[in-house]
Amino acid sequence: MTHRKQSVARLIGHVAGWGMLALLLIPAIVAFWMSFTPASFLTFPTREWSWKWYRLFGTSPQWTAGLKNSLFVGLTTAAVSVIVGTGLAMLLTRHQFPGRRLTARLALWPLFVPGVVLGLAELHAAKLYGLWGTPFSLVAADSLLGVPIVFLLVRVALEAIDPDLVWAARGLGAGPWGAFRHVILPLVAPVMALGGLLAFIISFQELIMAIFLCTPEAQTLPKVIWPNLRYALTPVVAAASGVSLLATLALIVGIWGASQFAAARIRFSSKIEVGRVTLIGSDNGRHDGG
Amino acid sequence: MTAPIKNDARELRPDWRAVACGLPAAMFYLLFFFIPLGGLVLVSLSERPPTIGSRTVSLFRSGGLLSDRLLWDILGFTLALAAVLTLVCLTLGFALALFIWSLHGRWKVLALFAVLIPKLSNLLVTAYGLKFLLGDGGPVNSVLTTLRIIAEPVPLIHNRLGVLLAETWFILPYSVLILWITLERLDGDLWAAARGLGATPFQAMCRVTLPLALPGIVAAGTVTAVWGLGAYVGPALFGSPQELTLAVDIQRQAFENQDGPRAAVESLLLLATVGGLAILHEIVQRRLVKQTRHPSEAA
Repeated sequence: MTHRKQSVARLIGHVAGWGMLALLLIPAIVAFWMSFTPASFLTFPTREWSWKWYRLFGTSPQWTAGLKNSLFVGLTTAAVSVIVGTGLAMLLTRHQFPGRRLTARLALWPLFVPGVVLGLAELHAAKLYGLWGTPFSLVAADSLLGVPIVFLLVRVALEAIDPDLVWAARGLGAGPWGAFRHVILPLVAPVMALGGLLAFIISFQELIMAIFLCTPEAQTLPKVIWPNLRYALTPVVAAASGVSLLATLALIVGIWGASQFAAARIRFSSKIEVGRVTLIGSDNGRHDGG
Repeated sequence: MTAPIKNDARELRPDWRAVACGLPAAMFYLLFFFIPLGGLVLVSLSERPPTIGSRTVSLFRSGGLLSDRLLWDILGFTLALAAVLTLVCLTLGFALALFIWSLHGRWKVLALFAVLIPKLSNLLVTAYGLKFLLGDGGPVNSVLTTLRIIAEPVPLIHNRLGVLLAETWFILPYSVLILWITLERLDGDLWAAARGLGATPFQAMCRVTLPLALPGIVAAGTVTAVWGLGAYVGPALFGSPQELTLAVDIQRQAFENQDGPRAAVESLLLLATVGGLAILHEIVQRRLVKQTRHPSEAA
């Protein structure tokens, strides 16, 4: 009796759980699906499917320029975030100085400042620095979110490295740069790549700072989508959403593939090293024996 | 070649490697975070022109703004929205996190992907789908009327309900992820022990899991509240002019009204609210840590 009651409760739980997860996904699925409608008003494509809106996206200079600008800003933001964030993580894990804990906390502050506040502040700053109207104002603004995230991830990765490994490398004659290049970097590179990917994704879909910082001449994809979403729901917006989704997925798959390749190469080269060591070792052994 | 031996005299000298690591970050934060936020303070005090370089500083202007009734109404709505959103996202988020926690193997991976995918894709994709689904003649309304749950279409967007629904869709994944990580970190044996000692699942949840997960729940609540306070896309797309949050009004003041100082004052108000929340979070977390550290003293 109670057993049956429990299994009924389990079933209800599963239906509710999967139902909620489906609800979270449904709007994105619907948007993607509707990008294939042949009609110019909002209906589900049922019998006819069409690439019409993707063609329109590809031939309209406004949309393609938006995509190009977004890719440029996203990739530059990822690069800036990885360099600055990794440097900060190195500083805070490998060097002692007064105010170290405070610095670690301050570094995370931008994540907690609402987007509009950052956007407005960056707008005034961009005008002051003469960056206004260039994509670099947006790179700076988006990096405010990318840098802390790379910093958080890389710090965890650096703290997990056994300090003896570095000392071993130094003891074997590697300089500080050599130890970094051959010991630390290979160990944290995958995490740096992950941080860079997250920074790209954040920048690629960042809307609020783009609203503040974009000039009509140079707009990112979300900024081009925004007025269409507000005033007219044309299916070309769905196509643009589809394109940006595919771009992000392609990058994720690309990074995943590259990390697999790098991991395989490290395994392969370490096998060679290990093989060489055992060979030499056994050789010595034979000499000792003989 | 031998590695240089570290000694105390060396440690005291400024280390060029530390400088090389930290200099880009120091420059970046100074130029693009602290100076811009400081500039916002200057702009909020200025009369005209509303730029950092302006010389005329008047305290009266921002003082007058702070006695504006409308501003406090906007702040009130922003706070209420954030509070309701936090409550909704914590309740639904905890239920969903528990569900994902109870799954195994590839089902767990699948469930996590369902939470992550909308966040990895463009936020506006979800917004677009929601706007179509919830619209007056949209599928949700037609299904509800066909099933005779409601007699005629209910307006689901351009009102408070629309703002709440949309922002829940945007924010819920964050609270689910934080709460799920919290649950995964708990010692699973404690739950089994509680069950083994005769507790029902509900008792084990209330007496063991919930108290242990409290720091994570507080963290998830704070993150949700911060996102809720800065809500822009939800109110702008799914609200009417009555659903004005500080974020929406800041953008409106800066661009449509060209009133830089007012936008800056509102930004600082929003920032102060978030800061207050952060301080509250810190106090609560410290108290929780103290309680878990000395269980004998707490009892």
